[in-house]
Amino acid sequence: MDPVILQDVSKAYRRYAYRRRFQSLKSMLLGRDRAIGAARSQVIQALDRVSFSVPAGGTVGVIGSNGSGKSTLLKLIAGISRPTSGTVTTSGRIAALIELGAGFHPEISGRENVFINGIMLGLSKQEITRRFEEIVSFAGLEEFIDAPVKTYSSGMYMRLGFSVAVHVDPEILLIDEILAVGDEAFSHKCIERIRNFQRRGKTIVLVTHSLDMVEGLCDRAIWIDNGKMRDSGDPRRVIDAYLLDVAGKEDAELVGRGGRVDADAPAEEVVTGSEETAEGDGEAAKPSEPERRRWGTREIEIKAVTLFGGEGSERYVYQPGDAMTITADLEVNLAGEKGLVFGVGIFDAGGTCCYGTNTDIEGLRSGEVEPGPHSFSFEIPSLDLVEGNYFLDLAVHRKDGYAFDYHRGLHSFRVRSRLKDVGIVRLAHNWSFSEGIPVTSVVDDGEASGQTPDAEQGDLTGFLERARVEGRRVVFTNGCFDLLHSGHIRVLQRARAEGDLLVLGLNSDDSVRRLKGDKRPILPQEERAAILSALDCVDRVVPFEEDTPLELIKRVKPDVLVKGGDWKPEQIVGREEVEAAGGRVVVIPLVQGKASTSIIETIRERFRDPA
Amino acid sequence: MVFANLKRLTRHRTLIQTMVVRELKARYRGSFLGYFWSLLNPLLLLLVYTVVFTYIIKAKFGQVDNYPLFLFCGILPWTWFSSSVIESSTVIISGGGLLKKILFPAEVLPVVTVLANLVHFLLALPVLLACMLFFGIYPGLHTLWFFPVVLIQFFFTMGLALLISSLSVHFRDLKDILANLLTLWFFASPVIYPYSFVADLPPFLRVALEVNPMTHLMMGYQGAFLFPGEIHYQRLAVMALLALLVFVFGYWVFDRLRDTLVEEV
Repeated sequence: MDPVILQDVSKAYRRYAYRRRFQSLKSMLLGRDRAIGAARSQVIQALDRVSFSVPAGGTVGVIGSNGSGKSTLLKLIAGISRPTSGTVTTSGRIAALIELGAGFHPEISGRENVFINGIMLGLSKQEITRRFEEIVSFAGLEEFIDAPVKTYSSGMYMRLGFSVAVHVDPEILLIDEILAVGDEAFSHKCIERIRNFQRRGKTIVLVTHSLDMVEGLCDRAIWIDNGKMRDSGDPRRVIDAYLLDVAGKEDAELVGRGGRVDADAPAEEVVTGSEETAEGDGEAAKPSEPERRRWGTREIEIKAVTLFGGEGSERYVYQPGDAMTITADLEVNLAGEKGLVFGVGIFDAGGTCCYGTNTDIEGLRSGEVEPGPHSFSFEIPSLDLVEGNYFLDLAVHRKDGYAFDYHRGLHSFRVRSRLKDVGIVRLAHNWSFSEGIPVTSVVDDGEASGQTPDAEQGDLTGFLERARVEGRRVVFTNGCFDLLHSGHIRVLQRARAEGDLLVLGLNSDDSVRRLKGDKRPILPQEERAAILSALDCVDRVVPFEEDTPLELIKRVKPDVLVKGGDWKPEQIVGREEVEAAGGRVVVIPLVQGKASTSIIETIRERFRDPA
Repeated sequence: MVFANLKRLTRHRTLIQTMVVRELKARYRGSFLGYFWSLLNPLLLLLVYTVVFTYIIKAKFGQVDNYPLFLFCGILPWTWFSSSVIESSTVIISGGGLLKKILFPAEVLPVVTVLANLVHFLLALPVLLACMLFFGIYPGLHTLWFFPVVLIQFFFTMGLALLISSLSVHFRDLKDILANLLTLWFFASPVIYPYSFVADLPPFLRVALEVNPMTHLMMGYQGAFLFPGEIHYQRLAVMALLALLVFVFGYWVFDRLRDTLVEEV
């Protein structure tokens, strides 16, 4: 049974203004739950029929905007409050890191507080005594442990609180947005500790606004919006859906505001360049906020702005190198206008112009335009921007600057990248070094050391993370490979060529036996792994026990999933997961006659006992 | 229901124990002087009442033999009772942060309050005993009555603490009313005057004194320490029953309100 199961869980709170508390003492003592009895309008539905479960060893990240019900969810799992309806089932010791150092008493020493806090979190005195040294050294407070807690800095206070909480050694760890508060070094320590929990197969539910953390730590994300579960699944996909939604809401709000500003703006609002600057100075107090407004006569109006990805569907989240097309729908309300200038500008979140151009600069002249609906598009074949939020300027004006409609920063999109490079544009580049500077890739570290499968799995996470940090595209394929032949090599080489790193899922001995019968595999798992690891085109061999590599694919989250053989796309296990996460699937046909089975046949034929 | 609750409390006994110790440590700050300061309050009260009633007002009851000792006998358990009740009216609200963040049964908070004040009371007993010896009164077998009386008062106080701690979350003004009520209750209990004084009172006041549970508890302490002949077994038996009833009722109300506490604080 899964350690955390939520079934149809709802939680309602009474709206504060309506809280008449109780009508009478009698109704308080004999009445049912008040939230049920109260009229719908008086109730805030903090959570609305949320169902999910977390498997043992799973890490789930809960994301959503403020007030969406994330923390309520965590409190329900922790058992601190109870659902209005539905059931929450948990098994195993829970540690809820909702606030660090909750229950510390300022007057007494850190030492005593460790004991009290530990007991509050469910440890026995002996357990705390045993772990005491470790708790203190993890918090780095050896010198101060006998001083009263009130003399601690807030950082020391938090470190001690975290240290106690993680030493409770729970089966289920609940974390609510607490890692955001520490300094860099401490949050690294915390994350390391969380990974340690993961390696030991503990179940973790993490509530955070740090989407990077969800992406880096969780194998599943849940998006809570207004108390409802909007989406759940692969963290990258859910995060993108969430960001897209946030950006969409912001856009809607901004366009709405822009419209209102214009409604009561007189004709003089048509701003020339200099006035614009003056106005900009007035708001210079917040230099990092890009300016967002709209002006113009609207004789030609930009009705809607839509962004499309290379595949032609509407998108607001991109990866570097993706194609993006900006399409603006226009309503022309005046006749005979010619010499129109269409402009596009891209600004980063700090208001720096990344790129700007218009049709006049590029020597494009427009002829006479008829009244009615029209549109224009601006296609960027390769969006080479670094990760971040970007804002768009779109404008239709006359050559002399007379603005028909000018949208400044009203539309936004986001670029996500695994590579955390800095700047504005990503320039295509190659590194090369003279021979005196030995540079090797850190990605292959630790590969040769003989590791147990478990350690291997743990290390896989680190391996993939490094790959991601370095922006390398990960290719995944799988197979039994119990009798390696040139057909295999060809597939593996071509697979590797699809990206920068090849992770090979290797069916374990049991798994091969189930798939191919009792006589297989011919070579045991260790030998197969050793042979494959020696190949230049293979970067990582990861054995897996299941019949299909689906679970492994979910862990690896490859950019490219390669399948050798004649497979139809819909037959390929893991295709949906990979494509949902923005990856692609490649099928490489096998060379005729090159199969392990035929080699076995040949051997049997040639070495058959003459008798 | 009561048994389930008691079982839960015993499961959390380490927590209760450490919280009581923490409470006392924070109060005494771990020093002997701290202990002394915490005794100062009842001692001052003792001084004021002694001076007022024996020298200034010259009240009839102020002429009782060893009046300061008599006062001391009543003021100590009364302080336990009234501090517990007053503190329990704020304990859940002030501990609300804790309830919202850590999972433990809410009744731990009032239980800790009552226990911490009990320990406080017990720590003052050596001073009382020293006073007795000073006045030439020696403890005897009858002094053992102290223990059942404490036990009865414990359940009675605990029941009220549970009731008040949970109700005060919903009725925040309870704690203001409570301070006045307790002052009234103090004068309506034989703490500063002996029960024998009742004979001179009008009948309705006598009835009021009779039905006041604290009357019988105070008489219990006074009997255990000062007036060996005056232990009223039947009264104490009725009190024991009443204390259990109050305890069960208080716990029942607390249970009814349990789920609302986290949300309201």
